[in-house]
Amino acid sequence: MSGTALEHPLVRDYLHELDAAFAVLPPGRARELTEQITAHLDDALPADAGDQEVAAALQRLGSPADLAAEAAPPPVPAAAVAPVSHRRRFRLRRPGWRGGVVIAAVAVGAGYGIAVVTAAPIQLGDASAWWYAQDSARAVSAQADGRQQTTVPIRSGQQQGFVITVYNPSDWTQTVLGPAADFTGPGGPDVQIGVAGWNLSIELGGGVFRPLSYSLPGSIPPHQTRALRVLWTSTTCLEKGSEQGIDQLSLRVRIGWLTRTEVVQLDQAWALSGPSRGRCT
Amino acid sequence: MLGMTGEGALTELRRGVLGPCVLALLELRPRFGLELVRDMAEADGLLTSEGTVYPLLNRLRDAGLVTSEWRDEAGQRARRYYSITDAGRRSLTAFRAEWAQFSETVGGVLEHRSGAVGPGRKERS
Repeated sequence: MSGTALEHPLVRDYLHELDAAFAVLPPGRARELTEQITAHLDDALPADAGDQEVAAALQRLGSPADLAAEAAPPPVPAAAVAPVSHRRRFRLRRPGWRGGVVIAAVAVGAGYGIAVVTAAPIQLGDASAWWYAQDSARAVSAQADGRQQTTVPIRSGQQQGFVITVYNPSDWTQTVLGPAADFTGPGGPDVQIGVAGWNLSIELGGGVFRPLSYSLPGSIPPHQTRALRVLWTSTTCLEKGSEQGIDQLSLRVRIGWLTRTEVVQLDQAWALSGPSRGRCT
Repeated sequence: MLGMTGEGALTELRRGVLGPCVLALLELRPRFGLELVRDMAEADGLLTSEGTVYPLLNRLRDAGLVTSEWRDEAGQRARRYYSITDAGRRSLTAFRAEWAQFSETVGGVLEHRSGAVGPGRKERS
């Protein structure tokens, strides 16, 4: 790092303070933030920056303690209590409070908004299986282009599908509303999603899935696992020897007041193989 | 005028809208850290502390709304560039719609345009 502002004593002291303040963070996150802040200072300051210039840059950056607090996991949002506070305070008779209270409500709403927007999306869990026994019995697993794939013969005009477990890593309940508008299953566009209502935090075999009740919308509470079933009526036309599959799910998910599309990357492709028999489109 | 409640609320307000603002800037083109910070700082009063952008970027990336990659451009030091993802664009679109409605509602209250402060809640002077 020779010949950069990072050698300036004020910067060195700041980075040492940063190390100490970031001790409360997960090591990976602390390393990453230190790298980002260091790069910021390296970009922002010329190598021959004077004390005043360096001090001003550090002040703009914020104190290490503040940065550590900002990087710490966010507290549970107070959104649930905010509306009550909002309503109660509107009855106050002091006009001077009103502006502040409204802005407080805006701030809580905005904070709520960003917390919702940045909530970690649903992730794939550990267990999965073809839904119907006749598919499970004929499933062939193979590796293609570095990806794992499970393939079953298409049963034209009939329902086929699979079930996976999904985990909600966020601090918010995420409610699966259905497939994204543009999502098409391996057998056709008519895809039905269902979420089981039980927390499945244990290792599962495929047979465990079937007795569960699946419904939509399906809520996944924070840090819990649910079984998610994907069914479709196979109408796709596949030639003999051809295959069609998916390796990700696009779901419409509601978090708080926000509905967004979340993509769940699957650990293997779920595919159908031809030939189609009977009517297909 | 606002007192401590108002100032604290404004700070929270700034923090709350930073994420969508970062996404809006990245929607135009990828940016590296200092570039993003400076563009944010140009929006007067939005950024109280430059360093807060980085934890925010990391949260956005964890949420799949932003990606980052190192670029080593000729004559310049390697820099980490941040880009918005498709999920980020969708979230931004959703936030814009919600924010427009939300700010309109609050604006109505502040300007006494809506029925939020109705006759039953009228101030007595």
